[in-house]
Amino acid sequence: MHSEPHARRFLFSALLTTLCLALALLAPSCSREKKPIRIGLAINLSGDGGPAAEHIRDGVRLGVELVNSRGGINGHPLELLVRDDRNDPEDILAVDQDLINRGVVVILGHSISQNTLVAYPLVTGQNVLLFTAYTATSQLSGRDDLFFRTSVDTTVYGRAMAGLFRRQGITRISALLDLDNASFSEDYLRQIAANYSGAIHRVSFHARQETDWNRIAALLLQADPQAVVMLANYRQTAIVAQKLRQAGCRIPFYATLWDQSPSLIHIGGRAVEGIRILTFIAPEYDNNQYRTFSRLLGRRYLRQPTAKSMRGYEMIQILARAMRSIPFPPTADAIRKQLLGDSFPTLLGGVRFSKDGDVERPLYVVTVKNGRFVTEQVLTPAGDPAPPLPPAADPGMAHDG
Amino acid sequence: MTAEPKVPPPLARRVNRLLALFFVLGLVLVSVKVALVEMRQLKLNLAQAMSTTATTCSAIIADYFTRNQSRIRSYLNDATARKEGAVQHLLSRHRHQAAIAGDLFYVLDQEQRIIRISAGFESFIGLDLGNMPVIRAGHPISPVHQSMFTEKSVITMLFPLDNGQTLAIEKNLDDVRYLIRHFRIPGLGGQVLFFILTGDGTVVYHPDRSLVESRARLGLSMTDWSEPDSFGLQSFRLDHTRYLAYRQQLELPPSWTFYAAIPYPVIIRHILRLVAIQAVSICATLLAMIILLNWLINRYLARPISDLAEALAGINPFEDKGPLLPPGLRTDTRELRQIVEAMDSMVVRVGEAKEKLAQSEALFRMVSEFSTEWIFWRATDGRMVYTSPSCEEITGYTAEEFQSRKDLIERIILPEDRSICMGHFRDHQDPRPHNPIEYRIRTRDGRIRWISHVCRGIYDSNGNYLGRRGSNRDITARKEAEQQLAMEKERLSVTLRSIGDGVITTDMEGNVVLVNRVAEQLTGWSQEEAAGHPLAEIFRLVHRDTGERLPCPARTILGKKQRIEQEEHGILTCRNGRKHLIADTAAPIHDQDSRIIGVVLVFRDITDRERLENEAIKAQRLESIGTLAGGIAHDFNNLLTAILGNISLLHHHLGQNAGARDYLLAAEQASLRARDLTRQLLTFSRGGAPVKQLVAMDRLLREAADLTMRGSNVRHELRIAADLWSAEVDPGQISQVIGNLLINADQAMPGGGVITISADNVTLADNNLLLLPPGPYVRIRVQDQGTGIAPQHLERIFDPYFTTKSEGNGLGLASSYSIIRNHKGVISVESEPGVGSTFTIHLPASQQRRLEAAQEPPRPEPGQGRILVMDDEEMIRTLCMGILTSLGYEAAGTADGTETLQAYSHAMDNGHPFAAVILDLTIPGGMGGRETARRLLELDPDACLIVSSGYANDMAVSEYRKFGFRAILVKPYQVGDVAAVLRKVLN
Repeated sequence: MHSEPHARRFLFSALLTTLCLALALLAPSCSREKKPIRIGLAINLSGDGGPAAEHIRDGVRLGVELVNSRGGINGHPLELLVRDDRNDPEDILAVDQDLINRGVVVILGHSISQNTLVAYPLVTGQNVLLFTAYTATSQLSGRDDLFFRTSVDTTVYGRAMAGLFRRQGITRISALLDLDNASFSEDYLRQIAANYSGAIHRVSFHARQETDWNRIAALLLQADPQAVVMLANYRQTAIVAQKLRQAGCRIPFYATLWDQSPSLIHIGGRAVEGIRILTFIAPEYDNNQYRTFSRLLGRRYLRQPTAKSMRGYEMIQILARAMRSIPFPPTADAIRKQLLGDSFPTLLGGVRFSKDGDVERPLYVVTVKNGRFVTEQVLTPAGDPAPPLPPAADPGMAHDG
Repeated sequence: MTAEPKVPPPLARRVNRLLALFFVLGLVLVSVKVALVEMRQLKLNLAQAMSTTATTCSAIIADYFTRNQSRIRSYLNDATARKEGAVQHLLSRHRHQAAIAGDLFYVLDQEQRIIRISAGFESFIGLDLGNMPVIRAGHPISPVHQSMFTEKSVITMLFPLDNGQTLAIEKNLDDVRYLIRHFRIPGLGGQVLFFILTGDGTVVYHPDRSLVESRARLGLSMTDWSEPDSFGLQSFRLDHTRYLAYRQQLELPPSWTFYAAIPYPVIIRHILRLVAIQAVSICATLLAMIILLNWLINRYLARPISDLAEALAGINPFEDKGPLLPPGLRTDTRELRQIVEAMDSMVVRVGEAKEKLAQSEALFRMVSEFSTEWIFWRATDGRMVYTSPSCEEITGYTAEEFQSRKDLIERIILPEDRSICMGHFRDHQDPRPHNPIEYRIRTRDGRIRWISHVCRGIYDSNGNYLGRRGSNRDITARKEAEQQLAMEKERLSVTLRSIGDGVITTDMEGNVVLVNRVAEQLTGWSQEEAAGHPLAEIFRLVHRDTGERLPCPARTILGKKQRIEQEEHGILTCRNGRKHLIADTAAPIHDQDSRIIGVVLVFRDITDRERLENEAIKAQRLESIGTLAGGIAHDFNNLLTAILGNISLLHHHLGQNAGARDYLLAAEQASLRARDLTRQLLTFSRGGAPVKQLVAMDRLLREAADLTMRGSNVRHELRIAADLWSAEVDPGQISQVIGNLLINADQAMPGGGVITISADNVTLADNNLLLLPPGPYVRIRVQDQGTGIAPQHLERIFDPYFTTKSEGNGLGLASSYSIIRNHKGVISVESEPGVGSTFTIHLPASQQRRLEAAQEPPRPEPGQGRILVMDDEEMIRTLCMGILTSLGYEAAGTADGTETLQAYSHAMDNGHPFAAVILDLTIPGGMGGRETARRLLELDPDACLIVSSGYANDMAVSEYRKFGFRAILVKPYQVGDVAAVLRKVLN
């Protein structure tokens, strides 16, 4: 007489217990890890100059690993999405849009001024911060927007380069221009011309097209210059340097930060000995942050620090400090305000952004000596020779001690 | 309020719950087992498939490189190549096109310059590649790198040629991709991913081609590698996802590694799908089995038991007589039938036991209900099982009330006693013996009663604890008697301890019973220490003069059996060695039957009282001597005034007559010594009332010390408090006192030493031993390291003319004593022969406290005029007028105040007023100086009046300004004194 209610109760109990157990089993699978903060890195890895970008990638990746190993951004890990823009305008826009769709708050890139200019309207127009260390064109200077860079612009370089020529008594120069990065090379030469009264002989080419390097060398020497200024990437500079030296040319070569890569020495060999590079990156630094970076890069990525990897690492240092001071989730505007309102001790010394997101930093004349980059001269941000300074306070002591 | 005991669920429901739990557990366990088996099988399949793919890939890639290298080497080594040139031979289209046709090649000369290169790259000819890592390392197969010519991801193969040149062939990684792109690892819907990495983690092959083109270092992002399991599979983490992986190193190139990986989420989803399918059938089987089991248990166990329980619930074994169970009860098993029969039998036995119990209970009630004690039985749950009727007599509450309210027994306890009882009653579940307790209750009508409670455990025949049997007895009467006694005792104890005399009581053996607080202080023995000791040990009394031991009062009393009072005060030696002069009385203590049961000894310390009495006697003696000395000194002073004044006048008139001048000087010196002696006598006899002013005591002490000790071979040290208060004193007199003390100290140290003069601030309380009014005082100490003063001399040290020194006149300390007393202070001395003496002075401090030294008034310019002299002694009047005349003044004299007023008034009327009037203070039988001054000032408020007197006992001298005088001229005086006073007042 009791069987039916008992059976129903039994079935109900069994189902309830099963449900509880299932929930208990599923509960641990729910992630307890805090939501990551996504940032994108868009650089040219497979196009011309790809090996140099490998250094950028490794520097940025090491910076991210270090931030995450120290607890991330207030507990939120950084998630780095790396994209190859193939040095191609269509790919640049495609990869940046892909990164934005994946929810990145910052895009680090691109590797040259021309590519950054392509990406600029797309990225900043969608309320994403565009942050680079590899863009010097003055076309992006003085804008109160979501674009930030740790590199000084071509107006500073042009003034300093012209000053170098004046001090060396050089009155005739030949300039090699890669017109595929015209926003940098043309802009750079324009700034030199604005501060230089000597004669300038222009020789241009397109890196994405086949180039007759023998002809380029001959054109450069046509005006009987006292110096050659290379406004091209390390590969093109190295090849042209070899061609010029083979042609018996003994005049000094001047190059830009674009060429400050070990590959310049690998390809250029003896031809690039003595070349002078105007840069804001010294070959090495004497501070704890630099030493930590150098040690970890060698141990983890089997590489020596380079100008490109150092700049990549510095960008992550700056971003991490800025994002730690703002609530989660970080927005481009909040990061922007934090970048403008703070100063940032990094392995390259302190950085403080102007209201337009630009920086003022000391310059170095770096030369190649016995197959290694060495500092020849330190210049003030205005381009004048800097007086010798006492050893600087170590900005990294507090972080790496 | 007690909670209802929880009713256990019915058997059928409990069985259902257990079966449901078994079902779920069974389902889970079987599902887990299935999942593990499936996982194992999946891993086995994956490992086999991955291993096979890895081996195949390895073989294909190795073959690709081996075949390429061997073919090119064989072509380079054959005779034609030597003849035609190696590269040309390789490029000859008809024979070897396939060898390097799709690859970029270049030839380097011995200096590593490009001398030949694939078509389309000729402009690179001539470049020196000697610094390129791939060339410099010289490995046959280079690491993956980007070609500087084609920008592709390549590896470079180097072949040395016979002529020292090098052939470099760049192999595009797309070739590798081409070789293995069609491979798929079966299982999991083709979601198994495989890729090839170099030793530094660079991607050589990956389905995502962009990773190859960008030479991504995927290997560096693969972290947390586990150890290989039994299938050779490992797990790693990549971008927040965990993978199950297989890896195998390739044969060639040796640093390349094959990886096959699948994300764990994919595996888990696959396993869950498999388990879910099987779980349905397992669930159905388990459910069928458990439903069947449920029916069987209900049919043969749960339901019959339930019926039996319902039947038993309707039976009352104390009322019904068996067999009582209904005949229709389902008893279709032997066990159930046996239970039913046993229950019937039990009902019969219960009835028999009930009768025995009723008899036993009647017996128990008879015993307990006639007891005056309140007896109860409290069960382990706190319930009153039984309460005897006497509870009502004690508490006013009935037994039924205690049984119905189980907390009543605690509620009637007074709140202040509950802390004692709560612990006791709360432990009613504790079978261990409880200590008896006493507490108070409030009865129903509000009275307070004392209860003595004892209890013990109650056990059944098997030793099981059933609660406690308690017995409460009303002990109010006893408690009240005890309290009375205690109060009496306490009152006596407080009285004894409060009185100001020492009290010691002993027993009949003379052993100490009680010592009050004062006796503890005087003997040095506390009550605890002294109790039981013989009185003679505690109370050690010796004769004050002889030092002989005095008999113990207790023994004397116990011997004489009457009160005694010691006539001679004895010295009681305290335990710490301190001695007290005491007065004591002793008396026997009698009991109610007038029998002596001990001795009470009462004594007090009279040391201070005796000292005060001695002080008073000394003061009286000094005062009487002073009165005598003062009378003599006053008359003597007047005589000296005439002698000294005349000598000085004669001296003034004689001029430079050297012979007479020497005689006069000798007479003057003798007179001056006589004057000093007289002044000291006057001072001692209170004739020298101090002329007080506010003085900074530190400066005064320094100046007095420096002045006195100048030229002495004894060093002196000043230790004066930085914040030393000021005092209203006569600076001259106090300086004289300090001087006297220092001279005494100096003379006491013929061998030299140090005199310490210290001064500090003290505030004396009421009833201080110095007999001074309470308030602030400046304390001055003069301490020497001299020979000291013999004890027998100490009493007389301040007596006049008492001296132990051959050259002293014995007035120094006497006058010091007098000066200090006139300042309302005290001087005392402590001395120890051979060690030194210390004189201590207490002077009242001024309310204005500290004062810097007042500035001296400017010295007045001398003047001329008429001076009136009033003195009843003609010789003094004549003398004074002579002095005034010799000083150039016009002098007139009068004998009393009446004459003076007339003379002054007359002079004013004639237009020749007196510039000043010198008034003697005391005119026997006539108007004295004070009254004359008052009336002169009425006559002429600007009158310039000078008081003249031999001693300053009168207030008109010590406080002359209050009486209208401008200055004082102290007798005896000389020409210079008169000149100085007149210069002062007339300017």
